[in-house]
Amino acid sequence: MENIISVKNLTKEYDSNFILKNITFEVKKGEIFALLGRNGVGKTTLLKLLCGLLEPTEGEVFIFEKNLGLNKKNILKSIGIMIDKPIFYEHLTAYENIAIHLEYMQTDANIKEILNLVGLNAYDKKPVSKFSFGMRQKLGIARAISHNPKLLLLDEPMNGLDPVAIRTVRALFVNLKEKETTVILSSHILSEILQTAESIAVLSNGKMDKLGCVEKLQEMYNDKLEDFLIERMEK
Amino acid sequence: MIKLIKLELKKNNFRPYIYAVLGIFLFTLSIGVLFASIPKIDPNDSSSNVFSEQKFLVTMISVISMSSFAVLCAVMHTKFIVNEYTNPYSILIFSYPYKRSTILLSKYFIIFVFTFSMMIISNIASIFFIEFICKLSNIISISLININILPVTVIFSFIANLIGLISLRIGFWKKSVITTIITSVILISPIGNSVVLLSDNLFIILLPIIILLIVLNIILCFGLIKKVNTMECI
Repeated sequence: MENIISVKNLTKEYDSNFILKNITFEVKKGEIFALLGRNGVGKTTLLKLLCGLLEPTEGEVFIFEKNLGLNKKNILKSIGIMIDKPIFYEHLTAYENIAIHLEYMQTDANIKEILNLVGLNAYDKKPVSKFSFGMRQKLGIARAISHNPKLLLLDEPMNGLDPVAIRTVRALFVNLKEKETTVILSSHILSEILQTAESIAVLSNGKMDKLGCVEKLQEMYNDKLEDFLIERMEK
Repeated sequence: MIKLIKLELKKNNFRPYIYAVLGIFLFTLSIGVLFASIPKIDPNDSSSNVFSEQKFLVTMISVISMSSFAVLCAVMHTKFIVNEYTNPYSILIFSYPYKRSTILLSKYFIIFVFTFSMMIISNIASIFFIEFICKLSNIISISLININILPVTVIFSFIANLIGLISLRIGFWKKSVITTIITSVILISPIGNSVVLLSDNLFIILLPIIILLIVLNIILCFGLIKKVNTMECI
């Protein structure tokens, strides 16, 4: 199957500190790939490198088999991003925020339908400044998927969501999988990752430990899987 | 570029800036009426006669207007550019499939057009109303409106914008809203003073100032574009 992401020897250094060292990995089309790791381990940095918000110190990133550094403008059209705390134009409504985003992404979509997917259809006319943290998170996800991206980069997408919303987002991932959208998500919540992702990798000390298919790991480790993953994260 | 300009207009709330323009207009109007009334307060004081001269009054009013609009321009640069290119807002703007420099130029274009046109309207309107009010209440008998008002207003409006851009560059470097605004105040003060003190040779004074500001602006603008193109969202 076609590689949507191909990362070769990626290194990121800030002020002589290596955040990521020599990372190489691939993600296949339609895969839900999760990055696990403790706080501050470089998950967000890696996601930012995958969409050109950061420049690698060394190495290369290929998205849709094109070099990201050389084709950023075209690649960005097909990527949905929710990194860090989602930011909005506060005085605008949820509907208007998505509409502006769609215009920037040079595409069109049924905004009401998108808001319905994340359970925000009743709040489409409410200014974002009046949204709670969880609602902002849902709107961030809605905006990221609104332009029908081929690749979705989500940083801690379940943060601040109530159980109903978590279930809605899980259903959304199933829906995206059917559309062959590739999803990369980062989290430090093990239970959530194990329910959502198909394959996982652990980031620790700037290095990536590719653990592969979640189903196989569950078969191998059964109820000891969580202990195994924590051990890997502590390495 | 036109699409980006339309999007900037859609996503930004212009109401506070329109209120600010109204505030500047009223402030200039009140100060203008006050200046024009000074010779009436003590008619024996010959030093106050300068306030009844058309050229002095118009220059003074225009300088106040220019200073206020330079600060407004800096505030708009802060809101539209410094804030949006600072984390976490920069993640949003850098994830759009457009050249970063094109987005930056569209923002600058909107601020320029808005402050430039609003200052021309506000300054000419305030001079017109000052004359109207003062003549109505017999404060002055001279006419303030003449052929020179338009070029003076256009040049002052241009200077206000050039100062705004220099303030933006310094504010951007420091990533600070306050720095942007303070820089505009510091820069506009000596220019305003020289213009008022040497109002007899206005265009001779303004020419080297404008040339210097344009050169500075070109250098800083290229520097800013280069900086934005290579910025990272750390």
